[in-house]
Amino acid sequence: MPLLSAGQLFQYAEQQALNAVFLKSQSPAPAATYMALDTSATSGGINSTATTMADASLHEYATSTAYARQSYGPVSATAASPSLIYNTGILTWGPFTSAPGTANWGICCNAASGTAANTIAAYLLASSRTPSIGDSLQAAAGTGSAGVGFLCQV
Amino acid sequence: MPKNSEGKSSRTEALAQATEGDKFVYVHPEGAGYGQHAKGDVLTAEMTELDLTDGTEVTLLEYDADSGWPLIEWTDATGINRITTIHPDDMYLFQARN
Repeated sequence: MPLLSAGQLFQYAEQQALNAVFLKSQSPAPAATYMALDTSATSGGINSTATTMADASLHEYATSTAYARQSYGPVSATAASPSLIYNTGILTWGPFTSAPGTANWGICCNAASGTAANTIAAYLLASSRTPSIGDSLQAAAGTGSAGVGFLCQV
Repeated sequence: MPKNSEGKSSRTEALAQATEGDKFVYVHPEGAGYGQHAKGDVLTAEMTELDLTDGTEVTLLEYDADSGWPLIEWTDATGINRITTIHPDDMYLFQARN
């Protein structure tokens, strides 16, 4: 299972978070979030100002491979400083019906499908993964420790 | 049209025109898992355990916002909840649960 770097928030999420904590606007209602897999280059490949999955710097796996985003299912942000949020269960994509390419990033977003989904955070995979036809791809459940699961901190 | 083609066509139509939350069962004519079906060969033991196996109940989550293809939710043999996109050519492998 791949080890993951700490997640970096996209502009969309930074703006939502600041507006919420400084009481400029109401936080969005609780809803499901999803983890996408992306083949963008590991260095400078993804634009942090991307606000949707339609951004040109993002290269999500194609759904023609049977790929679909998986439910992220995070814990509530921890009562600690820095505060952490991470997936509570193992995430598994596939089985792939054709080779989807090499995944370098996990991208958390707010819809199960579609390029209109808003981007929340990007996670660089510690090691790239290239599943074959018939394979499934797994990522570890988070524990709150750096490098385990899709962990994001503020 | 032969009977099995009619069945294939009606099953394809059923998944293509379902309502979110509708239940289906993955049924492969030779008992193969979905990944095995795509590969055309036996998978490793680890990948077999993670495959969508014959007889698995699936639920229509939604139709992909861009392609319109169905996204199904199911639980694998290890107990992990999964979401998989189904190519239109494979929709006949899913039978509506009455």
